[in-house]
Amino acid sequence: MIKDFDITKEQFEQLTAVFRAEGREHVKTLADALLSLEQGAANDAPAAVQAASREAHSLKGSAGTLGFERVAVLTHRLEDVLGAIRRTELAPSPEILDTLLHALDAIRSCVDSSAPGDETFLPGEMETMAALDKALSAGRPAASAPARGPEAPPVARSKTPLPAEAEQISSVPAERGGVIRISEDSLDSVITKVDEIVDERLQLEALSEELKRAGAQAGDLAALIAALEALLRETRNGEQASIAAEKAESLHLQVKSLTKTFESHMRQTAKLVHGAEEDLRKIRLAPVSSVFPIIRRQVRDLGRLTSKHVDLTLAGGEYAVDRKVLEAIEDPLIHILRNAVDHGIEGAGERAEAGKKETGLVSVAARHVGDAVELSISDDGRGISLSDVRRSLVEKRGLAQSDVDEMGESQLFDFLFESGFSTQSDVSVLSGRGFGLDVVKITVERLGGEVRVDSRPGAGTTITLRLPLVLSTARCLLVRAHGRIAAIPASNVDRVVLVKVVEVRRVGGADVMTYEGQNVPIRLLAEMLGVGGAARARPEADYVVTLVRFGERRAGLVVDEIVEYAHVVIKPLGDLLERVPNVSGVSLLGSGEMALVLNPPDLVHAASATRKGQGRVSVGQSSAAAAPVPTILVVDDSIATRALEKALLESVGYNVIVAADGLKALDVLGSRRCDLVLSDIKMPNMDGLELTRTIKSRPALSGLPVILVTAQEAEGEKAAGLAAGADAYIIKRNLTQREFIDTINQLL
Amino acid sequence: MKEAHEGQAAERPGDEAILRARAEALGLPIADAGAEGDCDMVLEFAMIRSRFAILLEHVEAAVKIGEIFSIPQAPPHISGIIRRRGRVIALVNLERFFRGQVDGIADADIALVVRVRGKTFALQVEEIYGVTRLPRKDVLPVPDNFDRVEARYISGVTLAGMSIVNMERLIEAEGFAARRTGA
Repeated sequence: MIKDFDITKEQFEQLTAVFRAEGREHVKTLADALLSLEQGAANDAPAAVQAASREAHSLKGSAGTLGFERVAVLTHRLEDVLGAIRRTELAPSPEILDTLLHALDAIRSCVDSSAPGDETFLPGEMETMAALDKALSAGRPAASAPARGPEAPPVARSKTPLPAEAEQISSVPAERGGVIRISEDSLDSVITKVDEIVDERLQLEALSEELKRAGAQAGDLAALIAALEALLRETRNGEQASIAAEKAESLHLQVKSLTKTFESHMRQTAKLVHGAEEDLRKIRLAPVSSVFPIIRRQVRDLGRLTSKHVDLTLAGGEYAVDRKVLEAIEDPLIHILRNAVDHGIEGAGERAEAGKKETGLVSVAARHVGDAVELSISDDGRGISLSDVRRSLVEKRGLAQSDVDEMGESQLFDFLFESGFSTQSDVSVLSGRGFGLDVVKITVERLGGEVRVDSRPGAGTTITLRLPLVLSTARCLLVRAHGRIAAIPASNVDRVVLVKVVEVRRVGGADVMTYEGQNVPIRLLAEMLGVGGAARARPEADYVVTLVRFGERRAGLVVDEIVEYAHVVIKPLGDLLERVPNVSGVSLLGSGEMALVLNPPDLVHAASATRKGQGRVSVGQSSAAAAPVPTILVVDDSIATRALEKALLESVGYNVIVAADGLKALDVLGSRRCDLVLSDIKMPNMDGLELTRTIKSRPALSGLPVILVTAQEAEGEKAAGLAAGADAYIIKRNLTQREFIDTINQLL
Repeated sequence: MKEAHEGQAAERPGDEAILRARAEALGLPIADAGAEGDCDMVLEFAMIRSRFAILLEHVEAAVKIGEIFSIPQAPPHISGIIRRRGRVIALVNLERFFRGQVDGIADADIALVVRVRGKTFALQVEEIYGVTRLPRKDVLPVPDNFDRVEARYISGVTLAGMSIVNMERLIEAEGFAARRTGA
C-alpha cells in the first residue's frame, strides 16, 4: 500500500489524481467490453470477457497498491463474476450484464469519491456486492458458493498478478509503452505559457521595427557626418571628421547587421512557436470513438428500461476532435439518445403496424465537414409530428392558431430547443418534461457549434451536431468594420458578395437583399456591434456583404473591407465576460492587432429580429445631404484616457484615430484626413501646446479645430493653450460625458 | 571572496539589530499574533475622485496597462480587456460601476489584478498608495450621504475618507459580470 512508500504529500496527491484518471478509463473500457459481450457474436465473447477481466484486474491492482480499499474490493467481486463467465460457469445473460454494469457505476463513483485507506462501504456499495455475489452464486452449485461479507474479501495489494490470473492475462500487449500521463491542468498551463511566448514574440516584432527605424536613423546620421567630413577634409579638423565619419558608418553597418540577424532569429522563433502551438493543440485531440462507450451503454440501458429492442450502429469513430468538445457533448448526447429511444422509437406493436422491423435502430455517425465535425444521431422511429408541435404551441404557449399554422418546418423545430417546451403529454422517468434539448443547444452553441433537426413523420429523426474540431482555434474570415477587425468563423460564412445600393429593399420593417431567391436581412456590422453609427464613409459605394449562415437562417453583414482568411487562436473574454452579445472571444493576430471573434448565432438572430427602422443600412444614403462620418484624432500618452475617449466618441458614431504624442499626431495628420484634434497637454516628445502651434502654423491644417484636454485646472495653462491657438479647453476631472460630446459637436 | 564576506557579516556584532531596525522602519509592520484578528491588510488606491481599499488577499498583481481593447456591448463599467501572461482579463472601472456614467476622465493606466471567488479580473486604477495594516476599529459605517449603489458594496470607510470595497459582494453584484444564462 502507498503508506509503505516514502513519498511526499504532493507526490501522493499526484498519484491519487493519476489513479482516478486511470480508474475512470478502466471503467469506461470495461463497460465497453461488457456491451461488446452482449452484442457480439458468440465467437467474440471470450475475447470480450478477456478484455473486461484485464481491465478489472488492472484497476483492482492499482486500487490495492494505492490503498483504495473500497474500489479494490468492489472490483475484485466484479472480477469473480467475470471469471465465472470466462470459465463458462455463468452465462452472460442480460440480467447478469445489468448487475455488472450497475457494479461498474458504483465502482466509477467510488473511484471519484473514495479516499485511500477508506474501508467503510456505502449502503449502495453493499447492495452492489450482494448483487454480484448473488450473480456469482447463480452460476455455481450451492455448496461451492460461500457467503461473503465485505469485511473479508481478498484484496490485491500488489501490482504482480496472482499466478492463475497472470496466466490468463499474460497476453496483454504493452499498450502504454512510451506513453506518459499528464493532467489537463498541466497541459493547459503549458498551452498558456506558449500563448505568453506568442505575446512576447509580438513584442519582439515591434522591437524589430524600432531597430529598423534606429538603423535608418544611423544611416542618415552616417550620411550627414560623411557630408560634414567632405567639407572638413581639407581643414585642421579633417582627420577627426574622417574618424567620426568612419565610426558613424561602422555603427550604421553594425545596427543594420544586428537588425538582419535579429529578424532571422525572429523568423525562426516564430516558426518554432507556431510548431509548438500546433503540436500542443494536437495533443488535445481524441477520437470520436472515445464517446462511443457512453452511447452504447445509454442505448442498451434505455432499451431495457423502455422494453424496446434497439440496435445501434456507430461510424466515424476515427475522426479526432478536441477532448474538451467530446467531454462537453456527453450530456447532450444522453439527452438526444433518451429522446430517440423513449419518444422516437415505437413499441413493438406500433412498429409492426407501421410495417417496420420489430427492432428499432439508432445510428450515430461522425464525419468531417470543413473545419468541423458533424455528429448525426438518427433513429428510425415515428419522427416528430409537426401537428403535435403546433398543438403544444397553442395549448402550452398560448400562441394563436393562425400564427402557428403559418410557421414552416424549421421555425417549428426551433421551438424544440426552447427551455420547457415538449410535445409529450406524458412525463416519463426518461423524458417528456421539456428539459434537455435546450441544454443541447446551449452547450453546442457555447462550443461554437450548431444543432440541426431533420425529421420525417413515420421515418425517424436525425439530430446533427456541428462541432468545432479544435476548441481554441478556428479558420475565420477577417473583416474590417468601422476600423476594427472582426473574425467570423469560416464555417458560418456562405460567401462574400458585392450588393448595389439599389438592390437593398425594405421588407417588413427590415432591409433585405435577395440571395438564392430568398430575402436575407442585411445590416451594417459596425452598427450591430455598437462601434459605429448607421452612416457609411461612402454611402454611394456598393455594399461589401458577408453572408453569414446559422442553421437554415442567413444574414448579410455589411463590412468596410475583407482582410483575409486566417487560422486564429480564440481566447475567451475573461471571467467577467462570459456572455457578450455578438462576440464570443478575441484573437491576437500576427500583426499584433486584436480581433473580435464574432458569434454567428447571435448575429443571425439579431439581424433577423430587426424592426421599425432599427439598423437600416439605407439610412442617409438616399439623401444628397448625407455627410461622411467625421474623423477625430485623439492624442494622449495615457492608454486609459485614449481608450476611454475613443470609446465615447465611437459610441456616438465618430471615426477615431489615436496617437500617443504630438510627433505621432503630426505623422497621422500628414497621411490621413482628420476633422478635429483632441489632445492632452503634457506628453513626451511633443506636448499638446507645441502640437497646437504647429497645426495652426501650417496652412493645410490651420483650419483644423483643436481641443486641449488637461488633467488640472490651471489658469496659466489654459491661457497658454488658448494662446497656442486651441479652439477649446477641457478639464478632465470635471468633465461629464454630455459636455465632452457637446464640446466636440460644437466644433464640427 | 564570498566566504570571507559571509564570515565578516557573521562576526560583526550588532548587524542583525541594525538590519532588523531598518527592516522595521522600511517594511510592513510585523504582525502581532495577539492583534492579528483585529486588523486587515489592505491595498489603497485612487480612481478619479475616490480613494478605495481592498483586502490584500484578493490582489494578485499591479501592472501597467499596455493596451486596452474595448469589447462592444460589454457592461459599461468594463473598460475593455487587457492581456496578461497569455490570458485575457476584464478591466473594471469601479467609479463607473458605482456611479453609472463617465464623470471625469483620469489617466488610469494601472491594472490591479484581483482574484475573488475563483474569478480573475482587474480594477482600473489611477494611483496606488500602498499596503496598509488597517485596524478594524478604525473602519466606520458607510455614511448616509453615500450613493446607494456604492454603499451596497462598501464595508465601511476610514476617517481619512477611504472606502473599503467588499470584493465578495461586488463579484456577486447583479450586472457586475456578463454571465451566461439558461444553462
